[in-house]
Amino acid sequence: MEIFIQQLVNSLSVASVTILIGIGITLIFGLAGIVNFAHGEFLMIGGMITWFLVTSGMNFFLALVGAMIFVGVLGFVAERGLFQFTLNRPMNGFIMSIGVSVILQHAVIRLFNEVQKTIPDPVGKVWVVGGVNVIAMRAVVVSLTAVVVAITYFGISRSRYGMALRASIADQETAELMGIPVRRYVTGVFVYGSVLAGLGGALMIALFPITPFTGSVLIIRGFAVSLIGGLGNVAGAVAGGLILGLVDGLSAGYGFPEWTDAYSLVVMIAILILRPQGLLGGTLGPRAT
Amino acid sequence: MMSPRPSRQEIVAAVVVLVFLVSFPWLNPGYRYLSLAITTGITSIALYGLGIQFGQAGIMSVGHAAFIGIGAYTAAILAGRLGVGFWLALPCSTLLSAVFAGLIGLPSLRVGGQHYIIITFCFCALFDLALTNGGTFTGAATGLDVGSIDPIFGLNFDQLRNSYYLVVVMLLICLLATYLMMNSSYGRTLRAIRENEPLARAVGINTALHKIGALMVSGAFAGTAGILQAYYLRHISPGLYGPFPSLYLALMVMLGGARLLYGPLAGAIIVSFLPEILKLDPIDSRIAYGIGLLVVILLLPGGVSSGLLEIYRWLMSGRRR
Amino acid sequence: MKTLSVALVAAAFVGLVVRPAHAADEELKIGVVAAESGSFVSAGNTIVAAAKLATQQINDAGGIKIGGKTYKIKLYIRDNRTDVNVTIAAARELVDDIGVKAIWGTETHDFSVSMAKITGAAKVLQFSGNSSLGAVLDDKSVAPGGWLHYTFQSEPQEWQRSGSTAKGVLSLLTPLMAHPPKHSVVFVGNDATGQYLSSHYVKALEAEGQQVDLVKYPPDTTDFSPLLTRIKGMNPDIVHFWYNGDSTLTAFPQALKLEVAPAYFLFGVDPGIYQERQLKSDKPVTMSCVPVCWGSSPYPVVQDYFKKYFELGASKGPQSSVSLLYYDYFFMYAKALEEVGSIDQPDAVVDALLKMSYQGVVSPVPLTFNAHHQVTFATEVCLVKPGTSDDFNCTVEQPPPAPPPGDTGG
Repeated sequence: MEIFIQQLVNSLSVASVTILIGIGITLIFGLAGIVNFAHGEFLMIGGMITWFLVTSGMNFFLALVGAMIFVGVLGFVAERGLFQFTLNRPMNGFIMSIGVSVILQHAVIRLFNEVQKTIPDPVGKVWVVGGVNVIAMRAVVVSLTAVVVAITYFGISRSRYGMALRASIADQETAELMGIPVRRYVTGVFVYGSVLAGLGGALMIALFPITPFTGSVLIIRGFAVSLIGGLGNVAGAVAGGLILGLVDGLSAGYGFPEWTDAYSLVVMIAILILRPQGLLGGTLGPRAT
Repeated sequence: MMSPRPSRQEIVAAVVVLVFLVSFPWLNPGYRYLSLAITTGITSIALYGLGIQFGQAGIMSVGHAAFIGIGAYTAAILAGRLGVGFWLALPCSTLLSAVFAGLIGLPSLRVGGQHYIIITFCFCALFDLALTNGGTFTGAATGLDVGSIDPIFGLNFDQLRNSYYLVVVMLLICLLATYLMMNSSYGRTLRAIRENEPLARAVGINTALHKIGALMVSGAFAGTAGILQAYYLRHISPGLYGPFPSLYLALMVMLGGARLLYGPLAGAIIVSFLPEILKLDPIDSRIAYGIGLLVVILLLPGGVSSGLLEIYRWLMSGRRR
Repeated sequence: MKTLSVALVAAAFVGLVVRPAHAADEELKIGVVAAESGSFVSAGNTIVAAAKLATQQINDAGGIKIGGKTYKIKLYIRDNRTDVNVTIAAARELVDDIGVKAIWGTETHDFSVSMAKITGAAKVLQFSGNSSLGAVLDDKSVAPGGWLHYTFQSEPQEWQRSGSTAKGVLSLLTPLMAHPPKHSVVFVGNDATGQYLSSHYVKALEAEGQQVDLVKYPPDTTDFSPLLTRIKGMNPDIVHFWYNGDSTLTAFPQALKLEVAPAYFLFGVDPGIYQERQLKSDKPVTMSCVPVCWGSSPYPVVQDYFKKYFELGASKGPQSSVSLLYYDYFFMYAKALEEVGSIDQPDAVVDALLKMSYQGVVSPVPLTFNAHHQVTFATEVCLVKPGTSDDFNCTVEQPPPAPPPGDTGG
């Protein structure tokens, strides 16, 4: 029985990182209408910056903040410099983001190298609770994610900013006529999503080593999670992340190990085909599709 | 109804390309460049599939390498298990890839472009996984070995030059097919669907049939590329046909220009030869592709080939003055 | 008449002046195809470094005396950019454009196989350090006329490496365990090399009396906790992490935290890397090198080799020992050429190599090629004292004489 609970506990922390990346994408994709395939690289860079700062002697939690800021700025530059020009042709933006992701991956390889990077566990404790080994850092990851989810959810649904954002998606022209600076909100959402990615990267490297290619492995998860939950729907991203995290953990624990990836792939395909609007419903995504 | 006869520009361009392709081995490129030319040619055949699918019908896929893989593995399995050689396996590879492309294309009728992109990525990853876990049937992760192409009309394909011409012939067939499709009513219909699908449907076009058709053509091209690749590399493995190779294919076709006739060829040549000629490190060249892609999207939405076309037109118009 | 004599004088003059300056030194063209860039660069670089070291030593010692002339090796190094198309183009260039007599490389099984199709047809010798070639080296392929007749596998057959490793691991771990280990779990990446290596290692362990469970993970896994938890539930005595080094270094700390097993084995993790990463475990941990360790070398001749190897500028990485899979064979090839007396008789060279016994660096017993063109030597296994990162005790157990039951050899 402890093994089963251990698997559930494991799944939760896997799900957390996926949720962080999924929230970023669902907001950016669903609310700002930008398809950013390089979002995974933003996460990877968050992790690399954290590694760099920690190995230079900085405390992990300070480095985490540093990573969030860095990636936030990176997002700002990307949006202002690139994505704002393709807002009306999201497919072009998507293709551009493939280019950005390739550039970022290989720039990191140039700057550091392609060997995996790791930092010592910042917390380092393992709590043994009733036969289940709970790695303390994973609990930190889950808690931080929960806090972020709460902030984001209430921010979008309750605050005036959130309402204005949802209005501008529903009808951009009218929103603009009503004085909502849509462009600025788009930039804001993009930066927020990027900051979340930076946080995700920092948390991830605290758990296991990352390589410059880590982002590209995660990005599909992130997109799938946001599409499964429903674009723009924060609760949906959480639900999607939990489902995929659970499928992953349980399939590794009880399925055929070499087919581990297949279970979540099949789930992704099934939900995308059978319920394209997402489990909890969301926007239909960028208009030009 | 066919469009009016090809313009003078088109004939000139076709002649230039034809002469270049045919005369390449005689320009003393050396075996290294000849070998690279063969693999570039094979890649561009696959890219023409994406050209039809995305350039004409507007359906992007990041799973295209899987269809190349179906063609390659079909050829390898037919050769290894049934002793079927290249010439008989060629239609099988092409057909099987087309069929699978059609099947995987069915979801595109139901969901939007971005959803479909994720779906193609997932299918490609599943394909890679199935090959890796396929035991002795697919050779598992180690892959399969393939023999040589059986000689025909006395031509031995172990000679590099003959292999090159085989690929060139296939490439020319693809170019011709693409040209005919682009300039036919079928092509116009595809473009209409690409621009505004609800309107096309309202006018009575069977969009589903046309889209699946375009995807099947794309698959057929990929399958042909696959069997050629299997017989050239003589050894295939799952890693060649996963989602990340597919991403690079998408990148290549966008770089070259998906909508123009020579775009896919240009994309393949740029990605294969530029790092060679400039002696660029693979890391630096990938950064260069990424930057090139950004430049293309922001400044040259039609790809490098459309940029070249603009330069050509500007030169021509300058001359007349 | 005058014109004729002038012409004769001119010809004699030209003949005198244009005579080659160094008639003594001929050139032996040898190629190297390896990943100097791209994702496999860490393994590829070691091949290049080994080639350069061997070439320098051979040339500095006066070159190779073949058929009355002295040959100096001229190395043609070609980067395969971790891409099969570039590998083939490079092989074509070396074989057809440049005309090398032998090629060393590559670090990847797939690339080596594709390359062998080209070298074999052109009668160019190929030395590849991929044990997975064992799957294609058979009586038919190595016979004269077969496509692998000129190819030599410089990594021991997998059942030998597995046998040597299994013996070493069990001999080092058993004294430190509460009760003799009976149940082993082998944890391996599900790619070509992983599938191949594990299929032999499982048989080797079973031949030593272990009950074995095999768990294969997707190669790009970073979060191993679900699978490790599953393994914990199997109550193993030893968990053996096989291939690849990076994934093992990711999974191992996670396994320690989850307290998965009372003892561990890490394939392909050099003691030098264990020490560098400051890994520490209160349970006994063994590790093996491919093929001998630079962080804790067993013999003076190996220590000397690594000293010279790193002095040439090669970096100290997890794959540095892979260079020893390529080094000795330069000397074996040179010796074969000397025996044959000509650089243009590849068939005679192949025969000479098959009969040769050569005392190299990589093994305390002389190197020989078997009928399938494969070498045999032992693998070094080291035990790190629990609670430390740098206190190692190593052993080199000779491989068993025959494949274990259930293992088809190869």
